[in-house]
Amino acid sequence: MISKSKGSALVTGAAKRIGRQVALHLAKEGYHIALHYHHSKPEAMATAQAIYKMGRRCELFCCDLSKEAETLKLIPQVKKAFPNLNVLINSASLFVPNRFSASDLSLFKSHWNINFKAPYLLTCEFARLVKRGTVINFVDANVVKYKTKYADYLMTKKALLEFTKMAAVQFGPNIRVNGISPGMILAPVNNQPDDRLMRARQIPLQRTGSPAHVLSSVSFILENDYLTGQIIAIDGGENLI
Amino acid sequence: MAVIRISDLKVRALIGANSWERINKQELSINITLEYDASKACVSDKLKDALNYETVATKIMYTAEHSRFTLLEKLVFKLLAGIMADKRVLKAYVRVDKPQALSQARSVSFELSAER
Repeated sequence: MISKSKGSALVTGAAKRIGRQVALHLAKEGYHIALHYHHSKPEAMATAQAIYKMGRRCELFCCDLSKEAETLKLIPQVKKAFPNLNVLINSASLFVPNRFSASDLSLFKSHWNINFKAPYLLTCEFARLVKRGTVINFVDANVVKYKTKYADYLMTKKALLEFTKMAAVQFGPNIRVNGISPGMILAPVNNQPDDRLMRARQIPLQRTGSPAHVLSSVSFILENDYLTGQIIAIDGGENLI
Repeated sequence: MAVIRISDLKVRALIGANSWERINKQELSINITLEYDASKACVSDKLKDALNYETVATKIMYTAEHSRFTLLEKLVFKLLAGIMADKRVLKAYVRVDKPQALSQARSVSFELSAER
C-alpha cells in the first residue's frame, strides 16, 4: 500500500553511509525515493527494501557520476519515473587522500567529476526540469580550512560551497539551493584510522556528531521555504577552530 | 544473410513477482540479434530497402516500458513476437538481463530465439 507522498527525492550515493541515512529519513518523512548508486548494488537493494517496508516507492538508478553523458541522463530518467520530483540531494562523494601534483591527474579528475561536476550538472538539470524544488549539496566542515591530507577533495568541496550560493541566486525563486557541511559524523572510509574521539576533544562541543544531527538539518532545509544559499555546518563548531 | 545486433539497450520496466516490483520500475538491458536479407539495401543504399534498426529499437523500448509482466520469460516472448511480426526478419534472438534480480549477481537473464 503506497501512501500519499510529499514528493520525490533523488539521493545520490544513497546505497551507503550518509546518503543511505538521508534516503531512509526522507522516505520516513513521506518522500518517494530515486536511489542513485554506482558500485554498491547489494547495499542499494538493501536500502530500497527498507524503503519499501515504509510504504514508499523506491527505484534504483545506477549511474557513473564521473561520466558526463551518463550524469546528464539521470535527472530526465528520474523525472520520467517520478513526475513529482522536488528534492535533489547531492551526497555522492569521492574522498581519497592526496597532495597537489601534476604527475598523475587521475585523482584530480575523479574528484572534480564526482564531487563538483556531477552536482553542478544535476542541479542545472533539476532546475531546468523541476518547476519548484530544493537542492541540498553535501559539502564538508573542513571547507574553511587550508591544511589537509585531502587536497583535491577539499578543493572540490570549496568549489561546491561557492556553487551552492551562486546556484541559489541563479535558480531562485523556484529552486532553493542549500548545503550541509558535516563534521565528525561517521567513521572514516578507506581504512583511515578513526581518530574522531581524539580530534573531537579539540572542538567547541567536545564530542562527535551522529547522522541524526545531519538528518534534522535536512528536514529543516526542506521545511523552511525562506532559506536559500546557506551552508549549515553540523560539526560541533569544528569549522571555528 | 545480414545480421543486425542491438546491444545493451536500456529500458525501465515493471517486471517481477515481488510486490515492490509491481509498482517500482527497474532497469533492464536488452540484447537483440536479427537476420534478414539485405541484398537489396546493399545495392540501393536506400533506407526503405533496409530493416531500420532504429524502428526496431523504438518498438522494443515502447513494448518493454509499457509492459507489466511477472516473468522475464513472458516479456522476452512478447519482444521476440514483436520482432518476428516483421516478415522480413528470418531469424531473431532476444535476451533480457535483469540486474536487480539478485543482489550478489551482476544480473539474471533470459533468452529466446525464433526462426522462420
